[in-house]
Amino acid sequence: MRGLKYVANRLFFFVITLFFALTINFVLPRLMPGDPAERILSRFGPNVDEKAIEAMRIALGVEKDKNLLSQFVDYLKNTITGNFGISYLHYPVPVSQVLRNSIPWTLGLVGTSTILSFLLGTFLGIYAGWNRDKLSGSALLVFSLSLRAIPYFWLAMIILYIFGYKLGWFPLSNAYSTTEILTGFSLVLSVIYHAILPSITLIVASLGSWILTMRNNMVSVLSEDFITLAEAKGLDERYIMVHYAARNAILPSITAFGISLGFVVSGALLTEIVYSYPGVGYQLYRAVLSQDFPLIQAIFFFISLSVLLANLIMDFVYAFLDPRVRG
Amino acid sequence: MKRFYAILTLLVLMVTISLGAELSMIISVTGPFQRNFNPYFAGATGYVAAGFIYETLIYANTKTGDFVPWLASEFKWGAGYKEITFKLRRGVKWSDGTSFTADDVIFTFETLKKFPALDVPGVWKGGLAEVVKVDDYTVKLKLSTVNTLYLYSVAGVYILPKHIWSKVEDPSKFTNENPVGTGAYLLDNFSTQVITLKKNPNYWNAANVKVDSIRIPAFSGNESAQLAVANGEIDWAGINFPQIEKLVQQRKELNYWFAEGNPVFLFFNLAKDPFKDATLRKAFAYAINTDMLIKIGMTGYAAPVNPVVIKSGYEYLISEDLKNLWWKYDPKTAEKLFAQAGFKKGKDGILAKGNIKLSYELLVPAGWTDWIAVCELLSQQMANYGVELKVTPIDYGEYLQRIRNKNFDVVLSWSNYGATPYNFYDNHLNSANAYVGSNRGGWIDKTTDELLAKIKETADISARKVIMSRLQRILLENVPAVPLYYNPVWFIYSTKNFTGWPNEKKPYVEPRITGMDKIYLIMNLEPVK
Repeated sequence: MRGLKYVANRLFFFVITLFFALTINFVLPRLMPGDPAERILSRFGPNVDEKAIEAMRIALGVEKDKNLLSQFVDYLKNTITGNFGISYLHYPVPVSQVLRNSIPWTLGLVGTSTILSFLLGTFLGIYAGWNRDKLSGSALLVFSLSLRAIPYFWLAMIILYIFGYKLGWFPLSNAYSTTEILTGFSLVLSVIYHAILPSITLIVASLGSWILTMRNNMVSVLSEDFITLAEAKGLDERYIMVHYAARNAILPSITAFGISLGFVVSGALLTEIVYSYPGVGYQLYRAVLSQDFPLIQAIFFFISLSVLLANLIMDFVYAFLDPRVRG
Repeated sequence: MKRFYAILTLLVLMVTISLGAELSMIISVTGPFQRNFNPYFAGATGYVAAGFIYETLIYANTKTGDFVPWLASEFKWGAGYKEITFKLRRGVKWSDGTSFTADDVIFTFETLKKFPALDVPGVWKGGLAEVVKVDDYTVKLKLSTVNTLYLYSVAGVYILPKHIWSKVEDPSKFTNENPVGTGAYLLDNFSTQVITLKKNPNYWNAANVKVDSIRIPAFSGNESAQLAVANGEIDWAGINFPQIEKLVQQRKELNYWFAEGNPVFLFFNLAKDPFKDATLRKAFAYAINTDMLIKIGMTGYAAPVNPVVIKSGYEYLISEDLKNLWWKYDPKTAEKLFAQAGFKKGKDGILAKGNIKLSYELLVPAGWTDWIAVCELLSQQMANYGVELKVTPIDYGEYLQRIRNKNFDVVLSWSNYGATPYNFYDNHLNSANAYVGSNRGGWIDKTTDELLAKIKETADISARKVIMSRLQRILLENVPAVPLYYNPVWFIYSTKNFTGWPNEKKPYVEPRITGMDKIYLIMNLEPVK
């Protein structure tokens, strides 16, 4: 009974938050100055012809004629039915097509990198926490602190410049080869080859946080009495590290991991720009710059949905892992 | 692992072997391509469609001022410049084998009328009354007003295949994923990362196309595009490249030519005091050292502009007898003019007249780094005279909105030049374009409007020269805005695979990637054997 109440409670909050997110999603873009037709053509800088802007305005159909409430009702209806309309920026391409072209790339690149970074960071964090008094542990601590301090955009550029341009080991841009048409296995290879540098950038950028989170949790768990007891029992060091300390220390990390998985959909803007990777982050950035309401709303909808879902799932997983939560 | 490396090396090797004469170009740095080959919508793929796949009746070469017959083999004005007859080229085929006829031309013009969103060239707004089919290969355009500049609008109309587009419910929402055109290239392969085009073997002018295929990779930002250029992967790039001089020294096959693009001005809001006073505006014209703006702000990539804003190639339109009115950088004269306009330095060192102080925000779009640098220099220069210009970079949308709503004092902005100086004067000075168009400062003057209308009523060079001279006098005496420089048309090219590129020595075309210019340019290229 108690379990059911917990689930219902969580679900209720999920729906309420989603509604708020959708409302904010609707209001924010409309607070921006200027008009979309001009912004869409802004990327051509001082080469824009007013006639083109005029034609674009007609094409977009000036939304100002409709009152906000009916726009909002339409928006909710369309969101629920999955009809996101035509993108302004890529006019006349439908929003769903833009998303279809970008979401898989983002899931692949950012998803894989997040998982790898979490696994690697957690292992290193366990090690650093266990050896907190040794040189290796301190070295890891310094290493992760400095990783976190590196400006990530700059790091991406440096990695690309050295390994892509100077040494020529890796391609400079794009998600797969643009010099020939590949299919099947060679395409898969090309995709992996092109993903290596962006993936390394993403891993390096987030690794420090994972190590630190895990290490600090380890350190606080290791000061608990049951660890002392386990040591007194004469259990194997390694066994205590994994089964006693890490098992308890990993809980907060799991939560953070769930939330970052939720954010995967939002892509990785800077990495995508530096490596010309066709992900969602870049589309969102462009959409915001050009007031592409339909596209902004669709992307935000998916981000809010996945973040809230990830939170919901994590709540349940947590309840399952940690009996104290179920109370 | 060894095997993996072997495959990698193979891949790299395969990359270096290319087939036929392939040209790689950067069309845009706006991210992954979306599949949309509607030639009437600006954007990377729209540009691919406009010129490579779809063509116009005539091509207006803005660099030479010529009209080149294209899908129309000849055209003739008639009825006192109220109609144009186009003789269509025979034997032209759409890429699906259907013949191109007058029906396609009529259909295209009618579609632009029915769907104003497609009328980017503004043919109907420009005074078209009706389109008449004379026979299968002759079309007549009837105008409601005399407009001798009308051909420039026609040169922007990409002819669509009736047998396909007539089945489309709403052409202004049509993404045209499998384009069928008359152009020199066919869509070979599309992906969000790269578009490849191959030569159309049945092209009506196939003998003059020596580039077998075109490869257009997608880039999401200047950085990755610049690296690709520096790496020698690109034959033609329409992008900005900082310190390009260093790069072309390192890589002998790379060259650049930054042609005169749209002119950039310091615009005053002419509806506000004290900018209603021409003497004050003239003081600004004498006060600004434009050479320094070009050299430092634009890092030498912009071209100087004369006070009457007449581009090279059109020098014959310059009125020599007005040259005594041309201004140049001259601080002494500037100071004299400020005094003449009644301004004196106050206690704070800023020029003032009554309760008007020359202290203003200078608006510029945020993120346009070279322009912001120019504004900083302008601000420094004007401070020497006691004029305070506070550089204010604002979001581009807000920037245009504030100009449109007359909510500004001084702004750094541009005017669209168009195909010829006549078009430019019309864009820049016509009251119809005040604030909303290229007449950003809002120059509203009956005499000017009448003169501009007269230009459209004649095609006679000597008559036009007289009118242009009078317009130049208006410019010189009133200084509606201060011209500073021509923004560059970014153009970097490589002679590794192709020769015959345009440059300052052979400026046969403006190297723009947006429209018909690019196919005209490609027809001048020869593969390196």
